[in-house]
Parts: sequence; C-alpha cells; structure tokens
Amino acid sequence: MAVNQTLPRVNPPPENKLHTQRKMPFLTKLWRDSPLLVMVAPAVLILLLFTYIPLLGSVIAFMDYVPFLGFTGSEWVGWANFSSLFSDTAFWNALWNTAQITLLQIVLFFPVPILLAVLLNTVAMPMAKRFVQSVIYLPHFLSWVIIVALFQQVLGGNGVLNRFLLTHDMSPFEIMSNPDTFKLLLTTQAIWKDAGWGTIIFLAAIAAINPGLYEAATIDGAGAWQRFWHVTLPGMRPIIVLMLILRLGDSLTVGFEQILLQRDAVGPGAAEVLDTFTYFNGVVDGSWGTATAAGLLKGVVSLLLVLAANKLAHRLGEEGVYRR
Amino acid sequence: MSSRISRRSLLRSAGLAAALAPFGGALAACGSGSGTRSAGGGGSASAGQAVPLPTYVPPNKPKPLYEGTAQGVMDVYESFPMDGPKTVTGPVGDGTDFNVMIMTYGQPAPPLEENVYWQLLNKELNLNIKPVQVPFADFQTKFPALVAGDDLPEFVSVPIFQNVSRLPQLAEAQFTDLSEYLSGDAVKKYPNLAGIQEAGWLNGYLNGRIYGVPRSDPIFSTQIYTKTDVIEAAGANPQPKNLQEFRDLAKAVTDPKAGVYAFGGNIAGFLQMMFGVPNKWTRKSDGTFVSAYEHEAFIPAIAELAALYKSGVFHPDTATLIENKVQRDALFRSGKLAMVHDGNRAFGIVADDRELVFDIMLPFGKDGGDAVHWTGNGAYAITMIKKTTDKKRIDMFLKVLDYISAPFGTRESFVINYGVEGEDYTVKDGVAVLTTRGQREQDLGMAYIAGGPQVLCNPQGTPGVDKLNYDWQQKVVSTLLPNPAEHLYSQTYNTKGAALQKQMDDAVVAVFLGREPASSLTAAIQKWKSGGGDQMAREYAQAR
Repeated sequence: MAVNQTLPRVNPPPENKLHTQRKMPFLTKLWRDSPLLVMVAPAVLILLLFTYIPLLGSVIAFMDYVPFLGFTGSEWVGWANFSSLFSDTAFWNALWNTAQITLLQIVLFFPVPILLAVLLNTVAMPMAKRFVQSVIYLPHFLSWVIIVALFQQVLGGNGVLNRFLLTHDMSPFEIMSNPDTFKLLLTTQAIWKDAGWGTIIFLAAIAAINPGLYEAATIDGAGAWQRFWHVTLPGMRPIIVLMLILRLGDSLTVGFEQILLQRDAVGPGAAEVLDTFTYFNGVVDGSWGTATAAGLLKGVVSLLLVLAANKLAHRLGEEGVYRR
Repeated sequence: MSSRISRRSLLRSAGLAAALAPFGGALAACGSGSGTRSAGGGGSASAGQAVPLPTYVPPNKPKPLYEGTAQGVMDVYESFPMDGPKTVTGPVGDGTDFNVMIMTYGQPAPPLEENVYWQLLNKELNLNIKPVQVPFADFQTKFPALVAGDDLPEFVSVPIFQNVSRLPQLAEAQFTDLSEYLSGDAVKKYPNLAGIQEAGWLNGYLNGRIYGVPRSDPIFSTQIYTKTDVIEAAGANPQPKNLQEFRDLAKAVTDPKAGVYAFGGNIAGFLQMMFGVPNKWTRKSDGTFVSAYEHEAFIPAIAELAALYKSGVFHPDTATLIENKVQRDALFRSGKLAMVHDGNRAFGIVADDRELVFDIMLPFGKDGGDAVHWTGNGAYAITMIKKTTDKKRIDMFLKVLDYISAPFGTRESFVINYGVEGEDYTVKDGVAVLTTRGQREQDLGMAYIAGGPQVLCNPQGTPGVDKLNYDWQQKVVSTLLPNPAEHLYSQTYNTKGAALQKQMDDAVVAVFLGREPASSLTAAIQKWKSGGGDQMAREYAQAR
C-alpha cells in the first residue's frame, strides 16, 4: 500500500549515512542524488504552479480588489482590509467558532482512529478484520452532501426519529437545528465519516513494529495490557505525534463543505467559521480584499502552530515533521 | 407527476428571490411613469453624456379576455393566438454561434439533438445557440468566478434580483455601450424592443448609458398561495381579514401528527407589508431618506414572525427550507404545507398544474383594512453583449433580442412560447396547450433573456387560474408602494449593498427562528446603519 511507503521510518536509520553526508562536497551530492531530484521535479513544479505562484495573489489583502479591474486597476489600500476585518464582530465570531471546533475535533476525533486501529489489530480472524475495515472505510467515500442528507433524514426536524416521536405523542428532539449542540454534531459527523479511514496510517504503524519485541515482551511475562502499553504505543508514538502536528497545521480548516451545507439550519452565529467567512465575504459579497486578508491571517496562524508544535515535539525527543 | 417543476414555470417565478430573502430580496420599485430620466442608475465614472431612454412604442395587441390597466394589472387571454402577425422580417442571425449565459432553475434542457424546440429556435433565428447555463443555486458563486476568470461568454443575461455588486462598473469595463443603437428613436429599428416599457429599461440603464436589454417583470412582488383542499379539510377561513384571523388560520391547518404545517419558508415580507413597513426606503418631505429598517413597524413585524414560529405553525425544517425553494414547492404540492409565500411570478408554477387547486390570499392590514404592497423592480433580467466595436455583431445581437421580445399574440412569440406542434404542444378545441415535453425543452431559457410586458395565459392550468390572479391584481394594485431609491445611484450600495443586506437578512432569520430575541434587531440595525446604511441614505438624497 502506498501509504506504507511514505511513512517516516519508525526504527532509527542506519548510522553510516549521517557520517558520509557531512564529508561529501555539494556537487558530488547533487550528482549522487540526481535521479531522485529528477523524480521529484514534477511534484515541485506542480507545487510551484498551483501553490506558490497563486500565493502571490495574497497582495489582494492589501488592495480594494475588483476582479474585472484586475491587479493593475484596483486600488492599494494598505492595512485597511485588516483593520476592517478586526473591527468586524462577524470575523471574531468566526474565529471563535473555528477555535472551538478545532479543540473539539482534537479532543474527541483525533484519538478515535488510534483506538480503532489498536482494536482492529487485536482481531485475530483475517476475514472478520477485513470485513470490519471495509465497513468503516466506506463512509469516507460518501460526499458531505449525502452524509448531511442522511443525518437530516434520520435526525432532522421532520426525520425518521422525530416523526416516530410525534406520532407516539412524545416531544421531538431538535438535533440538526440546535445552535448550542451544533459543534458536537459536526464532530460526530466527522467521526462517522472519517474515523475508519484514519485508522489506515495507524494500522500501518502497528504493522511496522518488530514482532520480535512482542515475543521478547511475552517471554518476559508481559500481559496483553503491558504489551500494548510498552510495545504497541511506543511503536506508534512517532506517527501519532506527526499526525497531531499535521492536524494542528490545518487546525483552522474545520470542514468547509460540511459546515456550508448546514449553516442555514443553525445560522451563522453558531456555524460561521473562517473558511465560510472568507467564502461569503469574498466570492459571494465581492469583498475580495477583506476575504483574502482573513485567508492570509489563517495561513500565518497555521504556520505558527505547526512550527510551535514541531518545536515542542523536538523538545520531547520526537522527530516531528522533519529530523533536526 | 405532481412534484415536477419545469423551468418554464420556475423562470416565471423570478420574484422567488422575494421569498428567499426575508426582506423581500429583489423588491424594489421602478419609477414608473416619471418621464425620461437622465440620471437613474448613474455611476461614479460616467463613460459619456447621459442619454435618453429608448422611446416607447406600444405594441399592437389582440383583444384580451380581461383588459389590464396602465397601473400594472396584466391582460388575461384564454388562449395563445396561433395565427398571429409576423413582426420580424428578413434574416435574424448569421448562422454563427450564440454563446449566452442564462441562469436556470431545474435540470438543464435536453441536449440539442433530442430537443426539437432548440432545433426550431436555431432555425428560426439562424443561429447556433449555445447556452452557458448557471444553476440558480450556484449563481452567486459561479458568476463572480466567471467574471474573475474573464470567462464570461459573448452574451450575458444577469437576473436583477441577484444583486450583482458593482454592476455599473462591470458593465462599463466589460460590456458594450448600446446607447447609440437604442437611445431615443434609434430603438425603433427594433420594433419589439421599442415595445418594452421604461420600467424595464431602467434596470439596464447604468452610468446614464444603456448597457442591458431587459426582460420585463410584473409590477407585483409576492403572493401567498393557499392550498384549498388542506384549508377546507381543517375547516379554516382561507381569506383572513386581520392578523388574528391569520394566526387562527395558521393554527387550524397545522397538524404535526399528519406532518402538515401552515408554512415552510420565510414570510417576513408578507408580515412587513401587513404591518405597513415601507418598501426599503422612505423619502421624507425634506428630501432625506430613511431606511425601512428604522420604521416603527419593522421590529414588531419580525417579532410577530418569531411568535408565529414559536407557536409551531412552521415546518420543523423551516431553517433549511428558507433557502430551498424546490423542496418547499414540493411540500406545498403534496399538501404538507398549507400555504407558500413566493414571488408573483411563481404563479406560473401553480398555474401550470391542472390538478392543483389553490387560491391566492388577499393582503390585509394588521388590524383589518389595507396592507401595502411593495412594487417589484420592473425587470427579471438584463442581457448584455461583451465589449466589441463590431457593429454588425451588435446589430445581430439586438435583432435576436428583438425576435425574442415579440409581444404576446405575434407569430414569433408563439414560436418562443410553444415550439413544435405535436411535440411541444398539442391543439385541443382550437387552444394550444403545452405538453410535458414542451415544458421540459423550454428549460433552455432563451425566452427569458429579453421581452416586454407579460400577460396571463395558462390554458394548461386549472380553469380560471388567470382570472383568479387578475382579480387579485385588481384588488392589490391600489396599494402598490414603490421604493423611492430604486434606480438612484449609491456608491455604498453598489459596493457593500449585497453584504449589508445579507447581514440584516441573517439577523432577521435569527429572530424568526428564535435564536435571538426581537430586541437584538435594534443592534443589528445600528450595525447596518454605521456599516453603510447611513451613507446610502445620504447618497440617495444627493442622487436626486
């Protein structure tokens, strides 16, 4: 599986490489790595074309940008977009909602795939394991439109559950349109859809643990719990930390489509996040400048989060996103 | 199939925006009968001298069954004359591609090879029509993307109620100034375009120049359709005379166990008109403008809306139904909603279906007496041509629109509205009646890019539907209330109008659905005012 090959090494790399690298002159290294560099070139090109060059468009954050007037025809306004952004209560509301959803997702969603992976790993029958895996991977391939519609049909104001309650003289539950519990609903939907898919990388991490370690632990008299605690978990730790850092990197991206589809049901007060704020301000209302300012700010904060998390990981002796 | 909704009928519901937006969406007035205006919709950077609007030459019309009025009541016809006079002579198109952006509602029209209506139009117009269809739900994102990517096709039809921001600047930067072809008597070269009234033209009159050819709209804005069988079964009175009777009706028809509710969408506009809230702006005697949000009846009207919602007469999915017109209409048709509030043009949707028995609620004041009725803005859409100096191309564009604008009763209009005999329509007792195929094929939308006044003629609907609407119009026409700021230019409205409007709409919906108390509107209005509302009022006062 492709995922397996892109995994950072769990075991320490062979010692010799680190030493030889320091002695080699640059050109020799270039020559030695040339096949690899050629192979990576298309990816770099794509990254340049579709990520770095569009980044230049960030200048819109400092302009009163009008698409049909273009970059040359639009006015430069300095920091005006940022000051109007900061004075807009809707922006702070969106930021606060985003932060809440991020926190909920990290606390409630992030551990689920890890636990699922560990549980799956204990399933002995290969048939049963594969069956369960297929079942939990499936929702990942459904689009948000379908998932939201499913939730609406089952839990909505006029859904199966509430119709049943109404016809049996019980009072209905407001689940899909309750602003107070909306963020929990979002997290639940995300778990339902993606927790299974998220297990793949952790299962791969477990598979990469040297079976010898388990044998040794068993010989030493370790029980199932101790094997999990002292072998499985430490073996998965670098991946868990890496995933956590990457998750922090896009922690301000909390699910645009999912939220957009349900925003009307609870209103922008509870459902506006940075991404929908940017979308409505920029694309729909035509305030491209303010919207880009919000987007730029989001990018900067995300970068800072990744760097901080990575630094922390290094402090704790982990590899993080790159090795020091 | 009772839930089928054809674009033909939906397109007629252009005023649906009125029901989508709590404040009434596109509602705005046309300064009808104010003579030639030279400053309407003017812009900051005028490309040249302001020009007179096209001269109006009233078209010949067949004798209607019921005569309309100059105030806006529409003519009623029993059937569409099949042997009407020709108004267009000589070739129209030149056989080239006609790439036109049209906003659509339902499914896309059947492809050319299966669509005899499309084939007929191509032949009649001597063109290769290639529509760029933008679904209604995507317009607000797709259109800006087409503009930003410089991907607009040669011809672009923009629905007025979509509130495109910076439209005058966009027109000046990207579209052809049609003034020399249409201003004053020049329009007479295209006689059917000369039959379009000023109220329509004002929508395409930007920066004092003529950029767009309008598709005229009825002067009325919204109506409440009532489902007769549901209301009769509940033993309720379908024509309440005051707020209390209205509440009683809503309560009587609601039956949660059966899944039947009075409403499923936003009726803020209806309640505001019932409470006497002005049409967006009031011009005081000293020439200053005051927003309708500041009117004493605005907050009470929304508070009443919230109280109705709280009393349980709204469908449980109202929060999502507000923006989901298609589902709302389906619920109405299936009897799960007893009433639906929609744009006046939505009449076509109900009138198209023979099996649907419905009535139109007459407006009434809160304590009895008359309500006000906000005037619509006079046009559904304007159609423009990308910047070009090719005079032949511009002439061809206008000839095509001239053909499409042929008034009711002409041969061209019959072709546009009925298509191919035996396929798109059948003749029963001398009356042409559209088939389902005909309704589907017209989803092409070409009929809705330009045109003059419309008439009421729905022989395929329940007998008497047009008379029903005619009677409603007769009663409402005296209560029409225009928006005094309509077609006045405000730079703030132009750049921030759409965003400010949405901000207020969101605040209204929050109160409606009980997320916020009615008192929160005071702060929302303050925010709206300081965010640009006050500036708009000043600009309108100066624009006069």
